[in-house]
Amino acid sequence: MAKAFIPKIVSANDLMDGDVVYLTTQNTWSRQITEAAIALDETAAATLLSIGEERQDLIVGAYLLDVAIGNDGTPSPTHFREKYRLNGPSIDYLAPQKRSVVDAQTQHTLSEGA
Amino acid sequence: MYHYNDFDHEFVKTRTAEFRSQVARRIDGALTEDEFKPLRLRNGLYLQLHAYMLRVAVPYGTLNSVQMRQLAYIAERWDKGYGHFTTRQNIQYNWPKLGDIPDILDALADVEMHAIQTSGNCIRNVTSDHFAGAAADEIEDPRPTAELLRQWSTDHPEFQYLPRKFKIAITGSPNDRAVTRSHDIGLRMVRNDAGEPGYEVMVGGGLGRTPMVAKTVRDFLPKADLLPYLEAILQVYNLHGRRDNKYKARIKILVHETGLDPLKADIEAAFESIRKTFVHPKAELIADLEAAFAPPEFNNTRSLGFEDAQTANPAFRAFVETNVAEHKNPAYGIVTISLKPVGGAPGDATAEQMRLVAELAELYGHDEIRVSHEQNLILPHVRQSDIPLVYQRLLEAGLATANIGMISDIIACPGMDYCALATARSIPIAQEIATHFEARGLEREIGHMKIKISGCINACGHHHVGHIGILGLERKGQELYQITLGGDGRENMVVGERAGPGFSADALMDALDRLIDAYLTIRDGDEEAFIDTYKRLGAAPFLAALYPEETDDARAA
Ligand code: HEM
Ligand code: SF4
Repeated sequence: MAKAFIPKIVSANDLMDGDVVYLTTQNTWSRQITEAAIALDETAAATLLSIGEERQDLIVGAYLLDVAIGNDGTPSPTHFREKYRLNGPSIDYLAPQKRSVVDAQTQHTLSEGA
Repeated sequence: MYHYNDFDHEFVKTRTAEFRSQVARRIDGALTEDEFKPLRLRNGLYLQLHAYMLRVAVPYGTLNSVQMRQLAYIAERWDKGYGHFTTRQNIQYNWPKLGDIPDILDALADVEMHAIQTSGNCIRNVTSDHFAGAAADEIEDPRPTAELLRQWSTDHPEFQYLPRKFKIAITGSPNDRAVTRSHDIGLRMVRNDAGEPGYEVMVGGGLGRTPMVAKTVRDFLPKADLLPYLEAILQVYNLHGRRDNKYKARIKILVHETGLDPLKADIEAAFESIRKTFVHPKAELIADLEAAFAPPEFNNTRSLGFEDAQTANPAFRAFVETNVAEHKNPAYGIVTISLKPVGGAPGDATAEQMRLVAELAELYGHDEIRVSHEQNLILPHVRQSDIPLVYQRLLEAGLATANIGMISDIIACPGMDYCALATARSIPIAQEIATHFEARGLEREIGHMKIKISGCINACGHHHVGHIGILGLERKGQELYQITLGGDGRENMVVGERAGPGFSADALMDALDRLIDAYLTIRDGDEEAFIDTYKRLGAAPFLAALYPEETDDARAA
């Protein structure tokens, strides 16, 4: 028996800043996954991918990824790699060493005259 | 410190200008990504999960304060205010934009820096001992030779299209701090019976999916023969190294498949023929390089302030114990600045922190800074009497974590938080381990410990040589962490053994707890480090701790 088709969307990175982008129903690239065009069968997926590949001047590396479709119809990635791609690094990357400053303040300071 | 000559300046400027035009042509559509990719990689520009990444070379890990300030400026002006120091002694920016890259490269060129040889199948940046020029056990500063290798390898016409990337590491001390045996070529300075310095030459080391310990092809190579001998090794590799399969293309596979003795014979034969016509670098060049790395003028007066400060302040004493190493001059110390604050991302430094390190180097460190492969920064020459002051300033900036060589001084690659090749995350695991063992108050009791974490089989985080190595994999749609035990990166390098089935991120911390608790119980006194207990007792007691109820189910996991 044929396996049920897992819905797919096309993603890539923006040429200029590398941002994660998704191919929309308007054949444009969007940073919002909610705007992604969803392929519901093999044929639609192949078509979507070839459209994505034609628009290489704006992006780098178009490819298909598996999604689940929520009750409101928006896609969300099933694989954890794509979740991190969608949401950004899982760490507090904008303040990488902030915590340590707090540590330092609670530590002893060097006595005067040393 | 080496300063660019006119040739170097011209070379880097031309290269930057060339890349500027390539970027412009990619942006206006004249170049496709397939055409552009090899060009950008040759200039250190990768594409990661969320952004581009620029890898900037720090040849043999040496920087001065002007360069460090420029790195801070770049982080602030064109990135998100921080940079990541790596196991290859380089710095990576995680968020640069394509259009800004040429300007960044120009800014680097202004301070004699670049991103050349940080990618591609060329001879990569030479790495070295981060204590070079300062270590008490050093025979000779390896950096004049490292710079010579840099000049010899940059754009060497014969070695632009090697089968695969090629990494050389060099140390001037018999005690290896540069993991030379994990490199394609490792060079370790030793003395022969006559007392002359030369190199032990090791070939075919590597980590990645097939970890291998480099094998010695020459116990002692006179210094003067170094370049023709390396050329012989590269010639043999270039000719016989496999090009049919990327995963079998490193020289380690050639060493493995050919066997040490036949390969040695090939190298020696090539060497005999090359040496006859080899044009050695001019004596003046060698002299210039030696002069460029001559030790600073040390101030040899010892003062008591250093000892007094340790008596007065236990926190400072703890810092000295772990972060200050013996200098060849007894009035000096080597200060390691930990980029592993508990809970922070290993190797990350903010622009302000970089500026502070630059200022301290300028004021108290003869203007020298080093990047270590363990992702820390080093002030190699600080007068002991200045160390209390340096400590105070570091403390205020959150840079005084006293943990060098301890369980929270973890190497971690970027993993799936940044890297497109990752199979799992590594930074959060490092953060959790550091935070967890700090909370348990066990760090000092555990003592010397090297944990190294990679987010995939490529092993950028050196997990194979961690006393405890952690490799992040994917299994059934989940991140899974496999533990290796007993790895050792020193001159007697050992590749760690895989312990058994991996652990989910949730189960990992309990597993490490069991491992550490077992070690604390079975070690032979407080002084015996984990790795020594492991060497004495073997894997069995550690495996028993990791897998207490060893069932078929667990095995199958
Ligand atoms: C975009 C990020 C990166 C990519 C794409 C990347 C790619 C790779 C690949 C493919 C290998 C395996 C090479 C082989 O076995 O032939 C490798 C090995 C290595 N990389 Fe990375 N890497 C990245 C980041 C880093 C970072 C951040 C570091 C330093 C922390 C690093 C240091 C190393 C080291 C030390 C090795 C293993 C040693 C060896 O066998 O050469 N890499 N890298
Ligand atoms: S080990 Fe893997 S995940 Fe980590 S930086 Fe290297 S390629 Fe990326």
